[in-house]
Amino acid sequence: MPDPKLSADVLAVEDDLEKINDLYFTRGWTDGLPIIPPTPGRVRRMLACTDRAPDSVLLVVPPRRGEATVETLAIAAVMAGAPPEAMPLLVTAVEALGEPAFNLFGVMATTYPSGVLLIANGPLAAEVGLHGGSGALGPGWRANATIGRALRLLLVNTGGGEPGRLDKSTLGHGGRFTYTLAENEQESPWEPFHVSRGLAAEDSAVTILPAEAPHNINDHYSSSAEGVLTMVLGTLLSLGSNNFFYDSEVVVFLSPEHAAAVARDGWTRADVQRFIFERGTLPMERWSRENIHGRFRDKYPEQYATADAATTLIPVVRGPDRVLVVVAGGAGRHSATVGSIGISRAVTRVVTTRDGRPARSLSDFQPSQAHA
Amino acid sequence: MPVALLCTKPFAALARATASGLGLDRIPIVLITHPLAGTLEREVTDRATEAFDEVIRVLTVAASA
Repeated sequence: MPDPKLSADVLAVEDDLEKINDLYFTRGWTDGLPIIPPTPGRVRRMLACTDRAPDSVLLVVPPRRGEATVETLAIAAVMAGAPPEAMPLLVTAVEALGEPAFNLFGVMATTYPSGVLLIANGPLAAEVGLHGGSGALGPGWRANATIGRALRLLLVNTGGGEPGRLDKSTLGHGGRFTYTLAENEQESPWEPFHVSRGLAAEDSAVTILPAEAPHNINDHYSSSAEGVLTMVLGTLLSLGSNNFFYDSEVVVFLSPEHAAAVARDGWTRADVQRFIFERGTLPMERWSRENIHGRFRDKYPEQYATADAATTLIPVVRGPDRVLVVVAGGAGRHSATVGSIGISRAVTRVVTTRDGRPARSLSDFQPSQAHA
Repeated sequence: MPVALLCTKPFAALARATASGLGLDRIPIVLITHPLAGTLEREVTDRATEAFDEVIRVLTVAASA
């Protein structure tokens, strides 16, 4: 197999890691952390783990509408320190970012602090080394740390996203560096999350959502489904949540111990979704006077103009399907809720080979003849 | 059709990049004082007053240039 032909410009620079990092940082190509220099050899090793041609355009990235190709993705993956085996998941994730429902512009440009939350399921997630157990959203897990980072570097370097200039996130959050984990399928009492989204258990999938930082739920006492989910609701229902203002999803990360307590009462994932939807409301009077008008009365006059603020309930989600219940984390009684930007929807995509067949393992991805 | 794109000053670079990405490099952008959200009605009127002459200019002079 000949080496794939690359089209990116090659910089001639001194072989000095610090100077290379200074150069990349100065040009706005990094996230502020050190990168691995994307030499042609490293980029080719990355490309050897995908069956897509390097010049395949995966996505047009706003606001500058630059093209993200398989090659530029491989460059970002090298810079992020991702293992080459991550390429099939990364390709799938980048294609998912292009779904109009995802609202990529919202991730790239608006004042809301959204990171690309990526939840992986299925055998490929395990093969790549994605972690769903203890501290899955924290440091220490190479695939988790680098797959999300690769996505971020790709988006910024193709779409433009200089913080403060084109990336207008008012405060941001750590998930904008990387925000990736696997579901803890082994310790879940329910079917894998991607199966609840209509895929087969043997499929591998990524689900992405423009999401804010996780909000912890400390519950060491509830032993019933209703008890655990009452605490979940109390954390989810915060006045500044975008989810009250726009139609979108929330993620409920249940720790295995909390999930077990819920399932012990015979509750399914669908029961959890229904409970959160039906009980997930606040009376309109809880918001500030200005927000009652700006967010509700003036915006939806037919519904709220003359409504009694004390008795009118505002739902945090528009339906049970907007509640994404994912089992994640390790030992301990901490779960988390995650809000999303709104005017956007979560996108779930199955990982496929180039001919559209759902992949069953990394061995399904052979270097493409198109590389020649 | 003559058009004027209004945005507050901190969003000027984003507006230009977005317009350029859409192939609208020449769209006239009129900048107003930030912020707009959370302001009183009097302040909104001030923003409109501030922008008025420039909006008229870009809708007439710039469009016919």
